[in-house]
Amino acid sequence: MSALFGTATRATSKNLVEFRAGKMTIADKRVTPDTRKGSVYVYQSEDGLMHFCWKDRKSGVVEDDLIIFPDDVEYKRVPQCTTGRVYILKFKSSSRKFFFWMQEPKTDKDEEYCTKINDSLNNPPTPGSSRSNVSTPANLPSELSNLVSGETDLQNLLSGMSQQQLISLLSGGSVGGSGLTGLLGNRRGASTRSRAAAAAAASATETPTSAPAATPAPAAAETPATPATPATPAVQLSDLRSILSNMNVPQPAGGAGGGAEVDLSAAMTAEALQPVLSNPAFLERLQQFLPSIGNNEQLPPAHNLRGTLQSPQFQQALSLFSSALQSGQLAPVISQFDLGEAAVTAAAAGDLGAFVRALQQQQDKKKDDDMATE
Amino acid sequence: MADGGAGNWCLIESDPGVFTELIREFGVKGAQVEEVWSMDDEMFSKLRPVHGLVFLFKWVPDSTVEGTPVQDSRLDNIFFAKQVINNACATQAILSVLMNTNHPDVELSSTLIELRDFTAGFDPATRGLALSNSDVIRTVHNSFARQTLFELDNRAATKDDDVYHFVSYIPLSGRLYELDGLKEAPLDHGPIPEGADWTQAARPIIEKRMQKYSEGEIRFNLMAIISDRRAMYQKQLEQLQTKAQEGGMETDSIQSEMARNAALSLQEGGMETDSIQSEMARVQMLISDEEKKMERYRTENIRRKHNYIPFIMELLKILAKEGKLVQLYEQAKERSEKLHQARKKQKTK
Repeated sequence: MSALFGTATRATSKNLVEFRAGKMTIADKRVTPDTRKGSVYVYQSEDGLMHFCWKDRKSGVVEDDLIIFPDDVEYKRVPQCTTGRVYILKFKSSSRKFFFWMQEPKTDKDEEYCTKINDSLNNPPTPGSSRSNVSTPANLPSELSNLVSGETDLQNLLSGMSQQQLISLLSGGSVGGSGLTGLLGNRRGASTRSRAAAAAAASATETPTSAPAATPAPAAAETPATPATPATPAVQLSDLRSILSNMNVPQPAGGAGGGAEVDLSAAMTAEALQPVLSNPAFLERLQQFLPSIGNNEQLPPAHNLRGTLQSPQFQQALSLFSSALQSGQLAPVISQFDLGEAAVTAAAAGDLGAFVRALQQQQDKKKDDDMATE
Repeated sequence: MADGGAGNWCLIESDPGVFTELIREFGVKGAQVEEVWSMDDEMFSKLRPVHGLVFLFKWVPDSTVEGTPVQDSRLDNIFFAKQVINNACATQAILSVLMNTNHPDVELSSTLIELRDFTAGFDPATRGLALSNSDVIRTVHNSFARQTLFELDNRAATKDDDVYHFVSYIPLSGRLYELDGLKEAPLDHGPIPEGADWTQAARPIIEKRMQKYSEGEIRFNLMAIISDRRAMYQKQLEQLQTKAQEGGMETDSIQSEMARNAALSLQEGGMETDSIQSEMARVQMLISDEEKKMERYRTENIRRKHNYIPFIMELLKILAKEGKLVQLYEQAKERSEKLHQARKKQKTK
């Protein structure tokens, strides 16, 4: 690539993002870590191009220096890896991928680094501009963060964990020797908590990777004895459990998970949808969004609806929509349609399953609200 | 396949309805595009006069070159442009036919005439550039692209590495020419036999191509650019009406009129009854068929240009309300996985 643009001169200004991380090697379908200590960093060369690099911290050799154009790549966490701190740099237009494992002792900035990598590569700064330091909370469901909102340390602790770790925590898996009750019980000193966090991150939790299952590993055994100790106020074990049982491990579309991308048009055919849509109330809702067919006399709406559902153009649009959502690029579009925060989050994560469930929950909630006001 | 800074050309569908409306929106009058499935004379007898043929196929490197590249002064009279933009190749192939047509039925718009005259002295490469730089043409072309909010279309298109290519065949001054934007010059396939229809002269060449692609299971399409049929039938109808009014006409001319009409529609397989009335009725039916077809094209193009996102959003909300959404998603997931596995198996065969 550099041949096209001449020698990319290394900017003397500091790197936009940098953190300690190791490389991983891909053989067959297995990914194994390279044990060497390294750093991942992003810098902008004088010509404005963004570089994603990995260097060996011991030898100082920069082994990888990739030029990345906006929207070339996605950098995200790989939940399937049991240590929970593995990230993938995935190329959108090819099957190239690189894996890295975090070597920072504290996990608290993992998410932040991830966001910064994506931001800097996909929204390269105009030289001279400074980016505000936004620390975004993890993929913490709103219910969970609400629950622990007063408990910032606990929130940080949970934010720093991968979903696998959280699930394992709740199913009674040992985390640094304690367990959730131990964790909750030890909520006195901040130092205790951060040690527990470090232990949680470092321990290899033995959570089995479920294949296409959308539900997390079920709680093996009830954590014996104590619910939240009297000393701890808001957070109840049962609350956390019920919330987390609704969380699912996101499946990456294609790619790392190896599964197929889901195409909604495979099931949402005219025949499948017809019975649902024969309701005149729904027809009325959908009418305004139908293509305007017919010159003088408009096509009767019911016919137009059927025709539209059967049309290859609609099927293709639905297929494209499925694909687009799973690419994680649709969050801005979704946010315009009043579908709720969870839907937008799912769209940002490229998780069609979560998106669909978010819509369902929104509708269920509306129904409950309607019933409550009756 | 660089953009060449000429602006973005979108991928459009290869469909007779798309191309028919496309050329009309270029301001061309008196022509339409029909899909052709075979080179049989029977097929063409219904379509004449044919102004050009456009052959669409998945591009494969082809070392065999038939026909002689034109290098003499004929180049001054042939509108030939080299292909600069990949997505524009359908439009370019069609324009190649239209720009070289001298038939009285076909009337080019002032935009096209200007473009033709402006580029008259240019070499093929520069002419291609001029074409791709035409805002008017590009805008019309792009208006037929699928309505999407995201650039994923490009990604999907390149995923399978499908590159489709268009080649045009035209008759010009008694000879058959092949216009291929990826070649350096028009190819001369020789004189058209006296008295024969040029499409039959093109037949062996095109059939050879079709056979080669069929063997390789390569998809192809063949389109014919013909005169506006409705206008043609309308003229016939008016002639018949005049004759009916004048009454007592020479049976010869009526017979020949009917014979010509009969030849145009082999469905009935032969000579018609000698009643002018039934002839008129038949022509009226043909007119009505054409009008229905154009109506269908219009509907399809509206469907093509429509943005389905708001519809999809509302649909998903309704399905969620009815508790059907998650279920449908799970079904789709299952089917998508099955399809994926099936495709994988096919690839490894």
